Amino acid sequence: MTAPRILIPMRRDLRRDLPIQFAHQAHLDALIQVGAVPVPLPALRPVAGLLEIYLEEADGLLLAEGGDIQTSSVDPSSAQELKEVDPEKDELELALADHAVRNDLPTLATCRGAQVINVAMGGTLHTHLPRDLGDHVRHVDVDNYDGLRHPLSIRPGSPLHEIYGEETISATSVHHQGVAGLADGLVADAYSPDGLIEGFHSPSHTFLVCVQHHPERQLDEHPGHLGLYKALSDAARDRNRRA
Amino acid sequence: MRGTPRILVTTRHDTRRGKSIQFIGALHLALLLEFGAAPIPVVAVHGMRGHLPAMLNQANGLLFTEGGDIGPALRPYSEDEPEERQDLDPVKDEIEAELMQEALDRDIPILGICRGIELLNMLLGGDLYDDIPSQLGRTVTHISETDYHGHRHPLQIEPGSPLHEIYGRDSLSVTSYHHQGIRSLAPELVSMAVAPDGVIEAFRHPGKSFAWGLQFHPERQLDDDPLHRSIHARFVDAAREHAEQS
Repeated sequence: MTAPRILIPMRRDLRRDLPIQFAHQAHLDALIQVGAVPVPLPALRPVAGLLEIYLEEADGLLLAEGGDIQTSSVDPSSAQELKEVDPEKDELELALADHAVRNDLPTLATCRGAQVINVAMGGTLHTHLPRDLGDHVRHVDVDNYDGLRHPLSIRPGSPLHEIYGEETISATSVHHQGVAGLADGLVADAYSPDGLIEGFHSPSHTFLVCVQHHPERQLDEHPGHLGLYKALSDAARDRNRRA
Repeated sequence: MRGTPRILVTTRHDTRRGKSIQFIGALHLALLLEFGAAPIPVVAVHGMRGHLPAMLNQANGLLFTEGGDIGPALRPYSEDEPEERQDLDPVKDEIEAELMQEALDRDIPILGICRGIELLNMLLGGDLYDDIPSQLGRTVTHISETDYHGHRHPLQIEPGSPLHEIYGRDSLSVTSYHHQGIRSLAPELVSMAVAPDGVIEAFRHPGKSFAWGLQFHPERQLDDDPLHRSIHARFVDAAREHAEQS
């Protein structure tokens, strides 16, 4: 039996002044650990024209972190607050999200990925949380980038609740954008204490689960974090078998 | 879409803001895409080895690029080795060696650039310098720490070789960022270009549909001469033929 393949769009950076495309290894290791094969997808414009090729072999999708999304729902006056905008990645991921939604491709979306799914399905974003929601909850700490945690309340009966088996978890937080209006078709499953929606899913899809936090960066804190990858891999494997 | 060649490209490890990443030089990816191929990254992480056969089954070409020195599991330390090898990655070594050997056995087109040429030569039984300056001398500067990207050295192209066909001339000025290098060419390989100190910096395997090695980085000197695009173009052509035949 072939292991399920999970596409994961890459991200751009410069290394020794030369452009690179990269993926964080924590995602790759987690996928391999649960029996899936991660296949990174270069976030370069011509790839959008070859999606048919990549999707032919794909059983699932992982949309993860990255720079800010530039969407029409972003207020133009706050455009200067956007960081690390990458139009090629935006374009590619919105196309992938659209495909995943239309074809019921099992999808796990974390951090920016959750925002991409929401935007692709017609939802809106907060451009800058400290301004839009105040400072009741810190969503990013530049001095303690990896260490910051805030509580997350999980709705009983939701897929997240099933995966974590908890009504409250402590979640990583490294974002300054966030979900403002959740798209039709998505159901809110988790909230931070300031009321921000940080977890949601689509009940009409086999597996479309989105979280704002970084499960891959806190794997040793709760088995549910790896459980998210396991749930993606299992859904992808089932789809692979049916195909 | 049918007939679009799929080209496997292995990733490389680095640390970015304290976190492990796997990356690929985007200049390679852009060239493959420009010529109509679909690059498919193969992550060089522990646990991938068992998945390589499935990935090879859909491959029409394999691109091996820059990276750290080849480690002792593939190439034991020699007694007179002058300095410690740098940037070792045993997982990448193992994955690339398996992919390359399979590609050779099945005659899937291969392009090996920089570390890729060294690996190809080594797998076919050739030998490497561990450190050119101390083992051969400094007639030619093969790496410049002060002018990493700007440094060039001349290369003599073998008349009648496919490389000569591409560039249409006898000599070339090339990028150079390596301290290992080809010491003796594997028996089945044929040289296509030589540096002034005698180090072979380009070769091909005449028994394969396309198996080329280049020590220099054509993708990093596209501004020097648009003909540097032709290397990736020729490789994609070979991969396309492979795709159409399979």
